[in-house]
Amino acid sequence: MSLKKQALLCSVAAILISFQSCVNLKNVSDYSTKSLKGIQKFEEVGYTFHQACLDRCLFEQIRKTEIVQTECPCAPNKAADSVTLLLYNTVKGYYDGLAKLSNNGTTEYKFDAMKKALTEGKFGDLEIKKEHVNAYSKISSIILRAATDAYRRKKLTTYVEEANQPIQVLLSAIELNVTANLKGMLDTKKQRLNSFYFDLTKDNSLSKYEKIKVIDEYNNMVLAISNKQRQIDAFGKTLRSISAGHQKLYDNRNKMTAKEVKEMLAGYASDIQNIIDEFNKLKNQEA
Amino acid sequence: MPRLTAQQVTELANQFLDLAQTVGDYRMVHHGQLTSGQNKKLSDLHWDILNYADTLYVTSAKLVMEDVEDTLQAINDITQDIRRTYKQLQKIQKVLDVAAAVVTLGAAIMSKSPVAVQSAIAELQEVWNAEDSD
Repeated sequence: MSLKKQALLCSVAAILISFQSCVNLKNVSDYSTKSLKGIQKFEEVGYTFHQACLDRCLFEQIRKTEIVQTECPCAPNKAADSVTLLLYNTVKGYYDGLAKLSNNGTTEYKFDAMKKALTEGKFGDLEIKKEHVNAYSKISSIILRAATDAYRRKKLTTYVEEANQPIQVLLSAIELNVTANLKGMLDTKKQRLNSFYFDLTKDNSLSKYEKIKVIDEYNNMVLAISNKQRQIDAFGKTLRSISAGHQKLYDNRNKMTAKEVKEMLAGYASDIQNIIDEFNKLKNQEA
Repeated sequence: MPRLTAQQVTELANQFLDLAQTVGDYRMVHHGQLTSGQNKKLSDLHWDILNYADTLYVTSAKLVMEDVEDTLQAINDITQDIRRTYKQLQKIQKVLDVAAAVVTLGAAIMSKSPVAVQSAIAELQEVWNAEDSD
């Protein structure tokens, strides 16, 4: 075999080896995609600060048995919702970008148009055989893929490094607003219901049957609130898993080809999927 | 005096919630021993404390914004960078498609067929003007 051919084979082999290591980006892609799905469960929580305000306001009217003509003063609650939505959209945008950039489909370039142009075109006396076009297209695809994947990996490493601290802050902020503040307002709603329905059961003007209906109504309302709170807890678990996954990505950002990183990220992606399934189950119960 | 953080305001809200629970439980446990006036006062107090808890939860939710304003900008900047990188990678496909269209044009010119040349130019224009997908 001539020296030239040996050199060519060695270069192709080196490129193939580096191409093989590129497939580990798939686990980054899986983690990012699952994280995006997990984050998007926020849209299905189905309760807001504004709703909490309206519930309280209307319930007060029922408790006082009076109809109030003015609008419920819920402007601060709407502002709280705007803040939470802004946090959510920012984090969602980041994970959407990360998922797209780490997706292997991003660098799967199609050479079909080029192959067609070369094999079907008439170039005077120059004969271009189909098997040559196929071979060179394949090699070009591998080389281009290797180069762009190396570029992608380098860019992803930079982005993960720059984004880790701020993304941890934002994920914590969303968790505070949803799993602490919003969930807390569901607890206050539960206590109001408890107080109100307790008084109803002590009302001597109600028959025994009516009291039983009242208790049944109260239990159903509390069950619905508890189910909503469990959904919020599931969402909180998702956020923590996403956060831990990104931290792991950051800690190992210069070892994106390591087997251990692969397995860890696969673990986080799987955890997030399990929590999404739990959330969906709870959501189906409320339907 | 430094202002409270969002986390601290939430903790305060939780304490008000616990206090409300205590008042509510007391009223229900001692309901039989209280006069109707005392009952109503305790009930009103219970609801007032719950309202304070709610106000604190909402205040915390809004305060979060002050804690994370710079962070939001940092992530937005990174997200824009990621999108630019992604679009750059997508442009490579366009470059390949344009190159293919140029080869087709080359073959058409060599064939000296005006119809083939016209068709190849139209194809090149179409590929050149094709929108970059998201």
